Amino acid sequence: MSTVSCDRVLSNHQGSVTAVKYNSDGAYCISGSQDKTLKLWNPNKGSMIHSFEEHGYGIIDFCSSLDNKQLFSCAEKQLYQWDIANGSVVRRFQNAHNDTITCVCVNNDSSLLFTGSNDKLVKAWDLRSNSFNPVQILDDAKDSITSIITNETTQTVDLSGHEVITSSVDGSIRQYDVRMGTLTTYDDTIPISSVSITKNKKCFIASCTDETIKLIDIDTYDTLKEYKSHKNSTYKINSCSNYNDSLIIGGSEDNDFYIWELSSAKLLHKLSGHTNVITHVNAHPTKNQFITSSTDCTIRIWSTQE
Amino acid sequence: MNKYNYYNENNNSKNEKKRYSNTLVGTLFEFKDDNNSSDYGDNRASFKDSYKPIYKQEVVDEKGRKRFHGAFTGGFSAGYFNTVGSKEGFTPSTFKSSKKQKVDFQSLKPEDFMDEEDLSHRAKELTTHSDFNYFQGLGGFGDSTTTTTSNDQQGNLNVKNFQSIFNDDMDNKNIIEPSKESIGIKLLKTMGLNKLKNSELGRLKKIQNENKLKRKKQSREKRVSNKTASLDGIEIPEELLSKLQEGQEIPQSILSMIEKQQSVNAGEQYSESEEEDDQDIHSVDNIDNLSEKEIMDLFFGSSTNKSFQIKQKNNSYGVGYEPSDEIKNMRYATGQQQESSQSKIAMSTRKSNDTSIIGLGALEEDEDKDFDIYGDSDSMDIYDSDFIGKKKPSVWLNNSKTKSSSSYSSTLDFKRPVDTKDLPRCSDGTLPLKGFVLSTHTTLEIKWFPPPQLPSNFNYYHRYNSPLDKNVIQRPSNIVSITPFQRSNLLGEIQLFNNSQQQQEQQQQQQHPKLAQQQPSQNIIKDSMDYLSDPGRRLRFNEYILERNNDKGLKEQSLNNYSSYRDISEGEKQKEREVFEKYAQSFMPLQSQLNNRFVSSGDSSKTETQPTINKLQKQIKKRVEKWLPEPLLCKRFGIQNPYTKEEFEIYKQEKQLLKQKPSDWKSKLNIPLNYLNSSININNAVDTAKTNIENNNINININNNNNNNNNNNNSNLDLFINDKYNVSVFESNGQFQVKEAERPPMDLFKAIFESNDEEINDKPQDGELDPFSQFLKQDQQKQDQQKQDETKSNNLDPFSQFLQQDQHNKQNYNNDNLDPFSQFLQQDQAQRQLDKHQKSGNDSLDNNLDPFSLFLQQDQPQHQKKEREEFKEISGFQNISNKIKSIEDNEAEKRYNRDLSKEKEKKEKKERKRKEKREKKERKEKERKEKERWVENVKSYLSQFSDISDSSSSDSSNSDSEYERRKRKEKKKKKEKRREKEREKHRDRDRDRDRDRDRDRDRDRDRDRDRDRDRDRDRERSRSKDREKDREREKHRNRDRDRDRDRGRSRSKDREKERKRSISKEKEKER
Repeated sequence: MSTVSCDRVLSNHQGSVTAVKYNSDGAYCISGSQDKTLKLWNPNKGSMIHSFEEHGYGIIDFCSSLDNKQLFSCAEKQLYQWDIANGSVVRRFQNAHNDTITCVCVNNDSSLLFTGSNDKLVKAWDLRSNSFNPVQILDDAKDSITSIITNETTQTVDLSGHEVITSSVDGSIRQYDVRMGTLTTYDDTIPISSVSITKNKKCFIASCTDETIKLIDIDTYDTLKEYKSHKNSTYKINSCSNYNDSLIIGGSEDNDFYIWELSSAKLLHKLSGHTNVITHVNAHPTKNQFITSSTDCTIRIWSTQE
Repeated sequence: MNKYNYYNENNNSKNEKKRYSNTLVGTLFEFKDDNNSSDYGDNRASFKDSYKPIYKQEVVDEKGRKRFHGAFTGGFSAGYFNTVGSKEGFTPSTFKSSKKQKVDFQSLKPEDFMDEEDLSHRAKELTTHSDFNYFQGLGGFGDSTTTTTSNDQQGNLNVKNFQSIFNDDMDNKNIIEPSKESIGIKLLKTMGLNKLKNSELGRLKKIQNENKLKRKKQSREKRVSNKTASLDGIEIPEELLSKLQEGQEIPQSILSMIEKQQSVNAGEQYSESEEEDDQDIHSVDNIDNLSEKEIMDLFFGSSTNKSFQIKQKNNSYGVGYEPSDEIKNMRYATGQQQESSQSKIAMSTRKSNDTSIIGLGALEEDEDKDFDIYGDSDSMDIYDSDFIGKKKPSVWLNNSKTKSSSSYSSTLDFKRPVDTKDLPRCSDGTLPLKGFVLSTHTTLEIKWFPPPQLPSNFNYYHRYNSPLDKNVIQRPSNIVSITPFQRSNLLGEIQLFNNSQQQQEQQQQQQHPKLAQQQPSQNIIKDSMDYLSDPGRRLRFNEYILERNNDKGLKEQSLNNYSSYRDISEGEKQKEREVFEKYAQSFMPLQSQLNNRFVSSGDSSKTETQPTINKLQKQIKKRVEKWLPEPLLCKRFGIQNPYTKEEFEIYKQEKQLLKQKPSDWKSKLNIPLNYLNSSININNAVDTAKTNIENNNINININNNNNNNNNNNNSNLDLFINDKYNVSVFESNGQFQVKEAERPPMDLFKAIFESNDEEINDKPQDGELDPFSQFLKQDQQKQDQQKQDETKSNNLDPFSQFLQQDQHNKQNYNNDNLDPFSQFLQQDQAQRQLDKHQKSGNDSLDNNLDPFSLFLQQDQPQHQKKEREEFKEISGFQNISNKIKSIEDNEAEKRYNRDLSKEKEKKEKKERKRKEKREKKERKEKERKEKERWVENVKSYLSQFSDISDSSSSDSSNSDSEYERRKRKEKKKKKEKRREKEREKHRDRDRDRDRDRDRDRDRDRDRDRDRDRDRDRDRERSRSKDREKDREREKHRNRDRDRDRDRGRSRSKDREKERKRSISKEKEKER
């Protein structure tokens, strides 16, 4: 059994870090903070590469494109597109939403941007054109959108999906299948603070505010497993699987970082280090390295040692 | 005028003070006054003495320089004359810099580019002035501060103002007035002050200043002498004197006050006029007004700096306002007890007219607008004097503790209220002042108006105009139908199972019997209340209940306390028991119900464990819906759109419908708003109008798609099928289409608003016309009818009416008495009427003519006499016929005629117009002819006296008409001009010829001087500079001399000939 320990602490933010994400190859990570900045890090060296400082509000969510060239960030109602290489804002989306934008997601070829907001709408933005109008507005949600992910696989036919998956405070996960033209809704009553998809694209990982993380089958919508014993009732704390879908990682309001075994739902690690609520967790795309952000203004990098 | 001079002087001083008081705190600014009024005055005087006529006058600036230059001396030439020194204007500065003389760049101020005028226009500079530097003294020499009240008053500063602002005890917070001494004196003082006293310099200065003062006093006396009388060296204003009666003495207090005032004024005057004086003199100036001792104090006392007190402003007056003593005393009078006998001032009615502070209202006649009502106290003291009427302030105020400062010393004794119990008191409990009587009648009555009465037929229940939709009345009350139990279940509340079940059971049980049971139970409660009002019985009842509940511990307690049963016998006890039993039974359900409502904390924890929530959670659904991605979305994802465009459209519409559903039932309300959304069909306005008139009401049918309604309304619909406009509300698929409301046809309005009387007029004509025009037409017709009804069109405007009346009168009377012009007018008119008669045989037409055209027609006075005579005859005939007709014609006939005539009217009008035109033309022609004749006559007359040649050229050619004449005149002018031009040309030519002649002569001379040709050539050139053409010719000539000579000879001859000819021509012309 391997042990997980904190490798590095990245502490350059002036405010609580709201999100931290690896880039597509895991060599870098970007963090967004309440200090209105986005920071690009080299997690292995622990050095900050660049600080994106244009926003007027604290960053709530961001996402980078698959080619690691574009960065999309949202802060309150601001929605900016950055050029990572330049560090400059490429585009400012005017009046994107009428309420705080809570999540952004870009599709694989970075042609579409999806934004979810507290105004219960998901908007799809065309990045190829300069039009200020969204391509489509998904207004099915009954409450604030908490997270959006896209599920795109083009390699295999049977698993191919062109889906936009949204989670909402109304307790449902909505799966917009663009290809089939269907909307599949997973109805529940407990607000879902975030949804992610396993690497094999077979399950959702939904963190609910009833202090459970659920593993939901993508086809049948059966709850396969429930991961508990962490604390999450008020904050939006995400959860995700590791690179090979063996582990489920999640943050907690008791300042600890939790790692469960996916198949058995057994709590493997409860790692303390952060001094405040963990806001976001992310797993390295190729190895067992995890990154967590917290409201104690720090980012911690965890890795397994055999 | 003179009467108020004194006031004005005072006001001046006040204004002066005000000026200071405006800027009180901090270092003050001084306004530099450069009023050299005397200079101006001189100028004006000189100007007045030497009056010149306008054309001799020159505009000159104050320095006597000419202001305007240029062609007409009224112009203004900028630049050289008065502005800058040189002809070129500003001499440009050259940059020079050498080793020895380095350039020093002087930054140019705007003043450098200004002349005196500009400088004079500039805003006055604001600079600090040591006079106003309050805080200079703070850092000065003497630290200790002594105060002299006289200083305060006579200091240049308005220390009084300071006092009035900070009206508090003087000891603590003092501000030291700046020393007005120059640094020299300060130095001298530090060196040794005693020396200064004896030094000659000091004495000299003193003498000088004294002399100065004397001079000023004299001059002031001169000024004042005509207004004032001096008494004991004190000037008393005439205004005051006039008020004094004979033999009356001026009270000493007034005198002293006047003296004081004057001295203050004097001080101020000095300060005004002597600002240019150097500081030393100025300060000594002031000092001179003081006593010798004070001077000594000033000079040799330890304190050189004046200090003045800051008094806190405790009152509610405005800043800088110092209430007069009178007002102050009023305050104290109310607060103090004083015997009435001591009040010595009598408010004499005799002097009530005098200017006292009381009664100087704003509404009183204010001849002197500058009079300051809220003036300073020291100036107002004068006017108080009459009011006081005694030398010394009243005793009671002097004794009072409130007398804190000298300003309160001059006091007023007010009428103390007579403290008797009989007197009614004011509303605040105080006694009214003596001389005042409480009014019994108060105007402060609160008016109360009763609310407006509702009309008797007013119904305060809201009523719908039309019956409500069934769906609304029988609205499925989804929200209400849920029982609290169900709701709590839905909400996932913790259920109190037993309780709720019991309740439900109870409800079910009680639903039927409860209604019957409740009534007696309530009675029982009432009875029991009465029954148990006795405390002993109540106690027993409680015991009984406890017994019943088998609460042993309590029972023991109560048994121990058996005193309650002592008084009662066994029988009574038994009886009571029975009653108790009855009551207890009736109370029990209430008790149990109440008990069941509440759950102890222990109970609730038990129920919490019941897993009600988890069950709900397990019900997780997977729901698959149809969702249509936007085409672009698919495109971006690189996928074919799963749906076609049509499908997409349909889906969109469906979605919209879904969204609109929640607001459906609102639309079912028969709110009048719906009428706006209705679409109105108008097919045949005429038909509807007819039907409407028949029915005399509007039928609006609300056509719902609702089947029930349709069925119900079917009969109704049948009724109104003929009605082409049904106000229908279309409601399809719950969607409410808002159509733009069309304007209902005019017939609708007519049907509503018009009375049935007009129905006859509504002829079924022009059905295809739009309603508005139809309406207009009707209106017109109505008017026409009115016209018909009235034999004479009385509804015309008064002017035309008058005209017509006049006309008629004229027709009725014989025209002999009238003046020829009006006669002619009438006849003219009559003639026209005759013409009409011949055509229509109706005289009513004339009435319809508009008055203006009538007037126009009448206003053509120039006709020949022959015609007039003819007209006379005809008009006489026509008048008779008119009379006959008016007698004979019935109204019915008239109507008939008019109907006929109306048709003809238009044609006639046209004809009339044509006629008028023709007539006008004829008249014009006649006029022209007459004029021609006249002109000819005149000409012929004139021709006797004048030359034929002159007149023939101008007048004879004159045409008959003015127009032609004018034209000819113009032509003539043109001709003349042409002639003039020709003449000018001739002249020019002549001039040229002369020149040529000269040249020829020169040439002849040249020939004589053969050798000096060249020189002459030059000369010629110089001359010919002005005549370029000639020069060219000459050059040409010079080139070929020989030829030229020959030609020159021949030319000269020719020219002479020409000249002669031209002269002869001119002579002819002149002739």
